[in-house]
Amino acid sequence: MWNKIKEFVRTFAYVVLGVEISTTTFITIFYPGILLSVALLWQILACSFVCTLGNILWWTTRRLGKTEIIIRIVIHYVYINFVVFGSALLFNWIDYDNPVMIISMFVMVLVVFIAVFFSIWYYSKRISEMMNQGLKAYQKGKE
Amino acid sequence: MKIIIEQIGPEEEEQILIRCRSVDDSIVALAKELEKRRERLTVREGERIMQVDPLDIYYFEAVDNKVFLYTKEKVYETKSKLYELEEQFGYTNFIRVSKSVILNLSNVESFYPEFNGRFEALMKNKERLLISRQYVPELKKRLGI
Repeated sequence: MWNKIKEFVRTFAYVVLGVEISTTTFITIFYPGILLSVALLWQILACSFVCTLGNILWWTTRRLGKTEIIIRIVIHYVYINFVVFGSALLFNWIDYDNPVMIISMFVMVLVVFIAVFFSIWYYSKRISEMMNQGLKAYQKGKE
Repeated sequence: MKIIIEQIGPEEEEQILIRCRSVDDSIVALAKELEKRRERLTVREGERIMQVDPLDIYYFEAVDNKVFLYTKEKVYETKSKLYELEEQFGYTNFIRVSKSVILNLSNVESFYPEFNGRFEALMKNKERLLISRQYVPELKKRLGI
């Protein structure tokens, strides 16, 4: 359980960073010069937290096949869009009559989703490289 | 550390003597591993009972309350429980990597990341074994990370 919590916190940090960068970009483009309330920061944290809960989709003890991985990625992505656009509607982040704004938000969600996914995969890849180095040293020491 | 190998006559008993300043975990592990190297595991292959050298074992797997032992090409059934094997071979190259698998690190070719924060071990016979998240810290510790 502790490992799952650690992993959840790590993903949450990536998501918050991604959402923060995209929100800053979004506001700079669509609402330049606007004065914002502190409540927006809490809204970003809340939205990021609910997005991170999507990790539960990956909590399984068995090996996933390629098709199953793709299906889960799609469900995960749809879930995140649902959360982000739901939050946007709830907190009045965007003007739903403005298609450019909606498309921009779609693009930002996609970019953040890919960036977070890649970051997590890259982190695991680095760990596995370290494990392989450790394995080589271990096996050499046992020869 | 000096390693001395002394040849003895056929009438004398073979022995390994470890002389050290203090008995720490690494010395205990070394002694246990030397013991295990001599110890063979009794297994079943159909109706036949045979013995397998632990060095030839790739991994143990528990399936439906039975424990199987996998070598490079063969699969045998063993009467031991997985936790007993873990206790018995824990000090050697064997390590638990999931609820149902104990693998032999000597026969691992490499590790790969899986999609969901887990890892996979590619064995030297090209078999792939899943490493559960909860066992990764112990594995990293064993590999000196």
